[in-house]
Amino acid sequence: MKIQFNGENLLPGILGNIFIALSISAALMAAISYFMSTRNKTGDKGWKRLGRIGFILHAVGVVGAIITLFYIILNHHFEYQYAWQHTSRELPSKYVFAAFWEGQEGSFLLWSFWHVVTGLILMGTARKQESYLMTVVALAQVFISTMVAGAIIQIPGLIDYKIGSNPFILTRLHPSTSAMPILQNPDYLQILDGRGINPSLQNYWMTLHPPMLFLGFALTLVPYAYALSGIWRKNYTEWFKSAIPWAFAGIAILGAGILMGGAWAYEALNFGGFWAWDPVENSSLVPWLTLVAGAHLLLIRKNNGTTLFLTYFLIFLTFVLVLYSTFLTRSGVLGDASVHSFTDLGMTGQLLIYLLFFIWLPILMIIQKKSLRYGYLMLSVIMLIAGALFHVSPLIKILYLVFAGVSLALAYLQAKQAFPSSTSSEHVLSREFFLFASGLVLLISVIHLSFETSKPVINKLIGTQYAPGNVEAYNQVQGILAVIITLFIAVTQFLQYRENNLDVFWSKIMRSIIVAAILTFSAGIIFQEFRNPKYILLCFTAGFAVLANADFIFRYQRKNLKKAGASLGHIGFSLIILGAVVSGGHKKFISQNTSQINLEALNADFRNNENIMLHYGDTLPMLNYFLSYQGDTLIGNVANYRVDYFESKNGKLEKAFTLYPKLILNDRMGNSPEPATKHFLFKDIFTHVTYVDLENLNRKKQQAIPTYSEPQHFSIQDKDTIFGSRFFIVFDGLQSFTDLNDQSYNDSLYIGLNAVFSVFDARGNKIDEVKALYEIKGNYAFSTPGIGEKAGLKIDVERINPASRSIDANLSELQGGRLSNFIIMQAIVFPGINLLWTGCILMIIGIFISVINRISNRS
Amino acid sequence: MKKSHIVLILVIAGAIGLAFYSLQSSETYASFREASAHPDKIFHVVGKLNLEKEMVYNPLEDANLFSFYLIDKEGKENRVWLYKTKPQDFEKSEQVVVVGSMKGDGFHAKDVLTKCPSKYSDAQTQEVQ
Repeated sequence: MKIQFNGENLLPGILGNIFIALSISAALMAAISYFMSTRNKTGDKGWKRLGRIGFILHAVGVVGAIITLFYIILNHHFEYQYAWQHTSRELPSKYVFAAFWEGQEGSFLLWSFWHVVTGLILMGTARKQESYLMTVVALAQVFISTMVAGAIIQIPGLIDYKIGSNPFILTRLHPSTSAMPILQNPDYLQILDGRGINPSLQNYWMTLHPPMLFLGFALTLVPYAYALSGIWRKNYTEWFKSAIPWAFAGIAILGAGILMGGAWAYEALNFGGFWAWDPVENSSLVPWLTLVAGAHLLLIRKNNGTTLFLTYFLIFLTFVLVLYSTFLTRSGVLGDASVHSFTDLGMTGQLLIYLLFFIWLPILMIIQKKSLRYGYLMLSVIMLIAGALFHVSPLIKILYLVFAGVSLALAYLQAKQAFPSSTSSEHVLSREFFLFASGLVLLISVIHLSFETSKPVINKLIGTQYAPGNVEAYNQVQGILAVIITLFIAVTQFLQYRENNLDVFWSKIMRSIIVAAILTFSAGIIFQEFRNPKYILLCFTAGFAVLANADFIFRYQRKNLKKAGASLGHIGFSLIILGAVVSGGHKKFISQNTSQINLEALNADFRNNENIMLHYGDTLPMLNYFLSYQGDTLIGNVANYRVDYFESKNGKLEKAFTLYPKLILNDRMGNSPEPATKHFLFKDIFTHVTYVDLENLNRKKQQAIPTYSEPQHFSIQDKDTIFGSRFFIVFDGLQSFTDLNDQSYNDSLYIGLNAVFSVFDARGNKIDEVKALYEIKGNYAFSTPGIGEKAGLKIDVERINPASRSIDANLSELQGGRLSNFIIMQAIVFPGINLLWTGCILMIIGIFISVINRISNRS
Repeated sequence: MKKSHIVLILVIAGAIGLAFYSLQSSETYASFREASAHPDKIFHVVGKLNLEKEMVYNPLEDANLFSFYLIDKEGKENRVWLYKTKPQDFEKSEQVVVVGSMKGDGFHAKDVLTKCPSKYSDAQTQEVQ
């Protein structure tokens, strides 16, 4: 029997699907029209115009689908599975963006959106290269748009394949939810609530990090398209100038996106650090490295021969690696190896085709002879069909491997024929040679990282059992490469193109070398953090790079800020390396357990004392501090553990600061801890609750009712702020809910006022609003305290002073519950982490200065 | 032979060497049986928890020691000593990967990865109020 469901709003779904269909077909139309326009040499603008119309229609489709999905999420239309899975009624509306791109479909739409934006800018600015570039962009969009198609292709007995995963599927039709019994109820929408976002993703970084990262990904498509158009038009270096600003903007944005991920991990996740060499982190770092290498090679004025080949290789590789990263994180192949990969939505094959297509395209284009090109095209089609039919047989794997090898060899030979060969003799001591060599060093770094990250793929292909690499192994290899790279960063700017005199070169860099050596040496004497022999070399080279680039700005660019972009960017990058080495290499667990060393230590190698147990009220010494656990407070579903840090001054303990590490309780998705960090200029103290006894939590909740603190008296004017121990509170003013004009002065005088307060947490997120009621009835004033449930505080208005336009009030905060009699915690000191953040900011500012400088010089 | 070619060849050789080195030195997934055969090597053992046997975590005595029983993919059970705190929600994990080596009768782990069933794929088992 068919059930008639009530209250479903089916229109957005229909609209959404129309938009998706429009985006796919219009992208296809744009790709074909732009392609035809490249073949037309007569100057007829017809095809080009059609291509433009196609791409604009495509943009309408993408934006329309995005708006529709936002509408569904924002209004909690749980009849749609995407809304059900990623939002819930209680989810604060500020997480609507996070909910939008938490799922694969939404993040594909986000990526698609940035491609549309870059495509539209290219359309307006690329002039005679427009048709070539836009063919590539539109082709990429055909692929990405189909990722959200959700169409099923069926040829009985042969093919049964679902293309893409559609975000507009109804909850009762979606394979993962259709079995829910509640969906048999015709009025299910009245009672259904969504699942919401995983609590560890309910964070403002989740709003910022993905769009930044995807914009960075989108920007890598532009250099790819330019490089392809270079081969296509057999004009191999003309496009460099136009592509440079795009490539460097990509470095800045993708870099910012990656660093935001690191900041997120450091601030709010429990990695205990900034970077963990997780496969997903690596897979976005790798295209950044190739982009950095490729973009710097674009700067070489007479780029030819092997260098030119490397330039093309790196630029193509960048976008291919972006696709590979997408493949790794979304196909489910990483599975157990990473904490933040998506689950498999059955798109592995589709993602693979996307990846292979954009590897194959440059190979096809570089083939010079027409007959050879068509031959290769035919061969590829045969390979594709063979793969689709016999993809399980081991023979096909070998065949594919041979095909890949032949293709690469062919590409190399053809490129050698096509590219202008180097005419003049090469000088090792020249800027172009140093850029070439540093590009190769970055390439080694990339090969190592990709190899490590691809272990799950290798396991799948050849049945090995390699486990993900450990942090130490990564640090070792990448540390050595970082030494070489920072050396290149330090010296390359002091070299001219072509020939250089070695003595002049030495005299230019000598000063920085000496100063850097003195600084490293004295830092090693003063701070023990710099004394680790493993890292001292990298400290020196990174410091040298900072100084040499600063020197370059002051001595050779006459402090001209416009031209200082590159040097500033290099200073930033070197500071990032320095900060990572100092803070990561010398992070110190101060929560060492000194009192209870287990003598029966079973395995001395793995012994660790990183976690320490603190009883309620206990005070334990840790490094320069004394730590005390002062109870917990459950506010909403967040348990706040109060840890006081004391310092010993003149033999007395004085409180230095208080931290509230948290545990976000969530029955359905697992509890997620959130560390708390105290920031100082030269170090951070990171505090993280690793274990609490959560058994019988509900019973304990009853017993351990937190109490309000002694009221704290304050006077406040409109828009002023007072500080609680966890929050800051802004007085928004008085609201009257009685109309004064209606009242006459007699005994029945009644005035009702609400004092409204907004409560913000330390990050500036508004988390609560408190309304304290103040009433005047005749000659008496009555006050009813306002309670902020989420913030756990109570405000009581004592008096209103019309003369000074202020109010007197009392604030009490919930504190000192005893949900847990003890906590197990970690405290880590990160020295010099601010070097890293300063570096991040300088690098991005530096790159943007140089990008803007290049754009304004061109026009 | 140009200098850039020489550098290129050196780099390719270096990269291949590095790749082999990283594979050679890579830790591998294994079963308890294999780990017993090479007690000096570090392995990653994938398995399921035995919830019927005791899990011992006594932070009063040692906050950095936790023990439990794990059944590997071959069905062999072994006691695991983890030198860390007990992971939160440990009992709920669907799959556990322990990193360490076999010493005597027990597997000694320096690290653990748990996979919870909750994150994305359990829509069918969700209760809805």
